[in-house]
Amino acid sequence: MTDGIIRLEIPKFGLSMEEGTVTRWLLEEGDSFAAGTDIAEIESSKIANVLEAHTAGILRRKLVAEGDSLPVGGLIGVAADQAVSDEEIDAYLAQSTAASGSKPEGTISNAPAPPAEASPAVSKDTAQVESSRRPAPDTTATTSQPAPGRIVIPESLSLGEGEVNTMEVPLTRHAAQLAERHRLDLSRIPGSGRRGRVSVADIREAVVAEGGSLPRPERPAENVPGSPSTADDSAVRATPLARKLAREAGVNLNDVPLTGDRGRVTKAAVLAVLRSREQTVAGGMEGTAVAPEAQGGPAFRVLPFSATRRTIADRLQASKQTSPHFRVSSDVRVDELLRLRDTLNAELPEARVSINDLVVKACACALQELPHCNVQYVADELRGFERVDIAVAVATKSGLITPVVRDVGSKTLLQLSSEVRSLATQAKAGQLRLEDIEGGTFTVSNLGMYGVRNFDAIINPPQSAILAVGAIRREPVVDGDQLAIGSLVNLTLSSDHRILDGAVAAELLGRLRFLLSNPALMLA
Amino acid sequence: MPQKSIREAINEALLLEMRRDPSVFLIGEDIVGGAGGKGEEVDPWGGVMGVTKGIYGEFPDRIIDTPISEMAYIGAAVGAAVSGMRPVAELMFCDFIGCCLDQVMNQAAKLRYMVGGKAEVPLVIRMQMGGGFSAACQHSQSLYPLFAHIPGLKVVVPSNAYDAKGLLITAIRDNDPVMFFEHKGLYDDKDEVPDGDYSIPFAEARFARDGSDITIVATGRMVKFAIEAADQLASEGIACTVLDPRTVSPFDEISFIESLEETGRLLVVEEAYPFCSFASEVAAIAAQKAFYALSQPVRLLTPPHTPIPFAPELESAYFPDAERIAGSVREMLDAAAPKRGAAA
Repeated sequence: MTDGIIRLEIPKFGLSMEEGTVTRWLLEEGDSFAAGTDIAEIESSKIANVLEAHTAGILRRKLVAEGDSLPVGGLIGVAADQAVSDEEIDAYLAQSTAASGSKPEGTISNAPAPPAEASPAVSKDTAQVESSRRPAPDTTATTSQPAPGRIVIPESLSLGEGEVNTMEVPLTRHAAQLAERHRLDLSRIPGSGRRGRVSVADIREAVVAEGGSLPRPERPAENVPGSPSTADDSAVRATPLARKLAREAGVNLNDVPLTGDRGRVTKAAVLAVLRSREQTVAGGMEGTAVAPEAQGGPAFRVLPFSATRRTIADRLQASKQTSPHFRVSSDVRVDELLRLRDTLNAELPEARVSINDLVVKACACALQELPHCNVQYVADELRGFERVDIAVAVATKSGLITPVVRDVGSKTLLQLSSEVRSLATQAKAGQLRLEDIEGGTFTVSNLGMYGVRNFDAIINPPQSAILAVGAIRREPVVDGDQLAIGSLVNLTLSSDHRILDGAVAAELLGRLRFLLSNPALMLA
Repeated sequence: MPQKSIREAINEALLLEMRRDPSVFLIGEDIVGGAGGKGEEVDPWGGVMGVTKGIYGEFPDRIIDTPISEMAYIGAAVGAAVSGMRPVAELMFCDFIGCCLDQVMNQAAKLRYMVGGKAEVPLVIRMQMGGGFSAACQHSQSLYPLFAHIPGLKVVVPSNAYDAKGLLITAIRDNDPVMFFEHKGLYDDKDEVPDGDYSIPFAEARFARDGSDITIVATGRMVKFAIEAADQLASEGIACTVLDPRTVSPFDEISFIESLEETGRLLVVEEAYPFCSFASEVAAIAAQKAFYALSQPVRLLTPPHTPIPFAPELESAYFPDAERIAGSVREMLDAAAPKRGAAA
């Protein structure tokens, strides 16, 4: 088949439909259409319906006039887009006509052959296959296409004028009501129950098989707790005044309690419903805790869980679950340290030493002096190190990361300072390599820049301890027998008690405090 | 149309079938009403409830009085049925079934299956059920769920005289064993019953009331109470369907589901014990096959799971009644729509 050419055929509206009549063209040759556009009205012996476009295109040729009949699948016209030339269409039509041979005018060989008249006991599967080949349901009121929710009884199942069901057909209660309401010809509807009893499902199946529609009854929305009813309330017993009031106020009488005299809806009851609705509305506007769900949106969004985040989660959870943490904490007087930093930064042009750099330096000194603290606990193994590698916690957009400064003890303060700065920059840019963040025995985490006085940190496994550094505070201090103003920093050391005992941690913290309050000793 | 009680309707069905088919005979304790006499004067009772009164006069050879010997005469009835007769045995109180359960459960119910369909057991066992008479826990039970549990038995529980006659005629003509339960408290309830013979097919429910708010499924005496409740609720604007399955097994599942599709609510009322009962089976069917149709949880209104008390006050508290049925319906509708009554 030529590309781009759309065949317009007589559709099959029902199982027993064999031919259709084009009663009216709804487009002219040359008209363009979108998917869903009505192209022509087509009638079978049972129902009238509309041929609907499945895709967009331009109607290029009408092959039949209004009033002409063709078998199901018969070609009534051709559509195509502009790219297809008239010659191509002519060639296509010539080929189609030639292929049709002796077949009736307008049919072609590759059109589906109309199936034999379906037996009444048509299977559900067949019915579904057939119905899927029909044009999509059209909801406009101008056609007789069964709209969803509408009952369409095919003529073939209806009793004629003056006809009655003469056969004794066993029916369920609801099937009997349905048959009576729609004047169904019961001799045409096979029953599947005991004694051939006909159920509503049997009727539905027969109706659908004949191209009609019989949706399940939709119960009124009254069944949904809390929502206003939309069901017909004309049968609800109510006083005339109450009915008038309810109609004017838009209240469905199904929503009003039957409390009045003789079980009727009264004016007072309608007013009570109105009042309670007003209260509900007012409550909502005052912003009383309305759950996001109540406003129609979800309560939360699922955010991406990055690989970094996952690593942090797994490692820190493992740390808290496997290593017994304990903390020792102390304030350190840092007036000397601040003076040293200021001197260094003032005198050396390339220096940008931070208090944190000095703390890292002090840690390196202390760990060198106390090698039994410079340990890792890996796979039930206690590993001692001579070299001191210290990790520095860096906050990045994707999460906490702890690059490791190697052999801190062998580095000058300026080397150390510039290396920490470089690692932090790389961390924030996401440029660290795996070897930049592995190993170490100790971490320094500093939240002083956020004004945090003191905090507990979680050990970064397999390290043995982590030092949490708070902000520098100016506070009254007792200096000898004098009250003075001093600069203090809180240090809190979290240690893994499996490998560091309390006294050892206290010793380490004491050494750190001593070094930081007497920074000249770090030169030693 | 003449008004007849259930007692009269059953009597009529028995007589009509005995006239129609010479293989039909009756057997049971005291169903003639006294042995050794002749004619009407020795037919004072017609069974403990007077159901078979007068039959002896017309068919003295086809109504057999037995001693208290359930095992013997029910066994005899099963044997007669297999041999080509159509016995209608009266067990008196269904509570006595324990004495002859093997004859029913293992013989009558299984024979056709065990011989590959070469034998049939066209047996009817009539029995009385139900409470309300301070007859205590051994004479007040409604044991039909026990038989509905057993494949091979059909179980009929009529609620009114018209159904009782038509269903009994169907039961006698049926080629399988049928357990026919008559509620003691309904024998005198009258209804329009045609004189001639007619039959009501099994597994076809009766809609005693039509309404779109709720489906109430009830059997036996509970149908009467459900109708009372439905009529009372109708005056409050609540429209109830009262569905009487008439035969507990086979059960008219199709009508039941169609009704649920219409109403979306289900209350099952039962006089029998609640655990593993007909009510729970109905609820299970709703859950399995019509869950989509339900707009709120199914509710069962049953007695508590205890023996039936003797004391009249306790017994009346024990059984569901019209007031409790109406109350359950109101509660369900209130739960479904908090606005209903909220502003009262």
